[in-house]
Amino acid sequence: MINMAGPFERFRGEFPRQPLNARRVASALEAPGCQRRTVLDAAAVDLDKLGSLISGTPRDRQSPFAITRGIQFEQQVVDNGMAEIVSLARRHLGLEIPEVRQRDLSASALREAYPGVTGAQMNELRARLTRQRLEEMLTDPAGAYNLIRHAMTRLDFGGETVYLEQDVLAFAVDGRIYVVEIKSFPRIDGRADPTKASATVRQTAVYVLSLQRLAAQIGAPPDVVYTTTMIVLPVNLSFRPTAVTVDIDMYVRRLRRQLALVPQAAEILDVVPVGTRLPAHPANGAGADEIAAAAMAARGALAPLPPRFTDGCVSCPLFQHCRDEAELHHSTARLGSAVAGACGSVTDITVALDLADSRRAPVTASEAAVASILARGAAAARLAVGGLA
Amino acid sequence: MNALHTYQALVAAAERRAVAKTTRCHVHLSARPLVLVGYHLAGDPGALLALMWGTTREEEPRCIVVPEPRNRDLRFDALAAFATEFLAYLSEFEHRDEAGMCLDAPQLVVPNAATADWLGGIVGRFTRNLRADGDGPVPPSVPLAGKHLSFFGGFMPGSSLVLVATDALTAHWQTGQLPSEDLNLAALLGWIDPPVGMDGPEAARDGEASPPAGPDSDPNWDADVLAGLIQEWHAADSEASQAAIRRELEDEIREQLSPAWVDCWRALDRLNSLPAANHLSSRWQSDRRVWSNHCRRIAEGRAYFRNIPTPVQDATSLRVLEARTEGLQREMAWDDPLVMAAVVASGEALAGRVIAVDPDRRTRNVNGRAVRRPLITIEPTLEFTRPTGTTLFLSTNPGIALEVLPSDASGLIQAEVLTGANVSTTIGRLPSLGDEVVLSPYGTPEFYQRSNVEDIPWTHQQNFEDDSQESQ
Repeated sequence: MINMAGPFERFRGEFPRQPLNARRVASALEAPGCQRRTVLDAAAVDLDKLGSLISGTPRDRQSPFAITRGIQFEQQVVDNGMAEIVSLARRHLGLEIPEVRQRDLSASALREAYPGVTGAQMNELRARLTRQRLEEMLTDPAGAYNLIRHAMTRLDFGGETVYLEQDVLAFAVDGRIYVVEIKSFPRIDGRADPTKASATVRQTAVYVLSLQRLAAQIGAPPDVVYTTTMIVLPVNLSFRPTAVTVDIDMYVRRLRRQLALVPQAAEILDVVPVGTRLPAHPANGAGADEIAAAAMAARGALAPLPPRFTDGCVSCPLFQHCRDEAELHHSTARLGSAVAGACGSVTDITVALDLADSRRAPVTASEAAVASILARGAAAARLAVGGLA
Repeated sequence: MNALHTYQALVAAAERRAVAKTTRCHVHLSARPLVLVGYHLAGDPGALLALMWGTTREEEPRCIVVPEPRNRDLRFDALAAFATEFLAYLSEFEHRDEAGMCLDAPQLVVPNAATADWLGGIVGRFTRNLRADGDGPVPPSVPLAGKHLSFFGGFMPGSSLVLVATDALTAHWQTGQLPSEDLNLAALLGWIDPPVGMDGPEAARDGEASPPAGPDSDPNWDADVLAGLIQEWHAADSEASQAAIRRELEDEIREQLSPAWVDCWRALDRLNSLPAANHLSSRWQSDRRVWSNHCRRIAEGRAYFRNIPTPVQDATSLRVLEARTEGLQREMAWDDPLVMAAVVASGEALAGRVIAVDPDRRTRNVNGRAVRRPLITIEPTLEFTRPTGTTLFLSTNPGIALEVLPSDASGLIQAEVLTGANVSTTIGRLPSLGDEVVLSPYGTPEFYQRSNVEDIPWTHQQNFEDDSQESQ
């Protein structure tokens, strides 16, 4: 079976697979240009498991308190027939929703109507139902559901089908579809944590793009799916919801471009030695030797995939591994984008210092330019030590 | 990035140890700081879980814990316990001199900027207006402490009322790791102050493994320890067993927060090892003035804080922020040859040796009058490429302003004195032949401050189409 599979499956081998979700697709936007990450994403490798196997430390879980709070807030917002969402949508999206006809397409809501459907089949079913509901929305606006919860859409990520669960789809009378995302981080005095807000925006862009593709499949123009989305957040420290509308058009376009590049990730694997693949993950209770051997094999499999180490890498599960590697190779990237940018084509710290202290003559024009900047820094350092007026 | 700092980062990575960016200490270090560390419940910054504080490192730090952080009453009980001691600490700094200025000001020391933001922006913000009467009253010390915390939340560059350990250390040392890794105090200290037998990266890795400095706790610890203890607390049927669980929680919290507490003191030690910069005392003087005014407002019941500043307030604070950032950079450069070297490396300042001085040179000004404009010729140590007409100031005497004249092919820089050393009484201030001088872009600031912002500048005009109803 493995012989039949594509290059990504061959690369992943027996290592655990983790179906991609919106967050992980969005993180492709966060790590642009990292070929290592792109290949691992396209191969749907379980990154947390890989990261903790290599570094030997268990990956941080999410705090149970944060999870509980998120669930509580979402519950509060959608209680009473999504009354809160409806009123926020009327106010913030300017929607006229004279009559609310809503539908929950979550797995738990469908289980009764479709007994025995589980796992991948359930995803498939939900995606099909979402498509039907969307078709109805566009053909018969007066009678169709106009508020859909937990809709499921599909997105193609380099040949891998990603299932995306949306919080809420709101449908306006004038034939537009809006995406509503519910988050539990607070908006304090009109401001939300910028890091979390931008992560949310990138994640919502994935939903919008997948819906636009679905609309196109149905035969509707993709812009029936509005890029102005509504994000529902708690006000200050309470559970009272408020909403902000954000136009995420820019992120949707960026994501579209990024996704178009993913299939080319297979080309990265073309130049990797034949037979390079991740090891099987050691079973629970495996001996230390077995784990060490697997970690070694995993490191070996990653080695031919070029990483792009930058400031944003701290949030990646493979951070520690890539950091060790950058350190081992004396890479200027280890010092962050600012230093790496200043060093330009000189990527080795030892070489950069040799240029700075003129122990080495620059060979190329770009090296000469870098050398002059670094030499200036070195001269300034000597100046200060020698005594500056 | 500044060429000097780039070079220093490379050196730090190669030598596996942080490199000094300054030769002086540019933050005021109080003789009696209040070191404060704490946690809130994950995902819920309003749910205070624990605070730990103290004023000397020898003492066992004081610690409060909230066995159920989501319970408002328990939270305020704990906050009241903190508030009492916090207010007692602050009251030590209320003695005034004849001019009405407090003799000294308090100093809060926190491990990282996130803790400072949390204490001022969340704990202070959401306790300062609580009522001590009416429905659900809170102890009166809580809103008072909230006002003080709000005051400490609004610090400006150059102020040492709140000392953020990571910020202070990164201003004084350059590590060989990512800037985002410098936000971890334990890792940062690993680079700056590695224990014997370890190099920087090793010690930093070691530091990363210790519990987080807050205000977010370790999610694994949340799941493995905290969740269980909170459940046990709920299940406990007697006050005695609840108290026992509370003690157990306190022990756990102490274990989690102690590394951050110790690291704050280590950070202070490192900063203390540097000689104090010259302009530090005037900056601390201004901190004392700000503190005195705040105390007066508190005493008169006028200490109000806006949740959302008005556009004029915003524009004013932006102006103050810019002026103070600039002022701090200027004073640091004057005080510290290494900071000035960075300015030279960036090309903004000119360093070199005086090879000719013509004190009696006269030129005609635009009105045709003859004016005395002494000329000095400098052989630059590092290439200087700023254009003709650039105004520079002598770093040792910033009152002397010079203008760069057109240069010839020799590579020498000629500059004429505009003010400060061009009349017979001041001519002696000119540098002499052979002196090593630095001409920097930092002149003595104008004495009269710029006028206040009165009308809303266009940058702060509000778009009234924005919905801002729910923010009220």
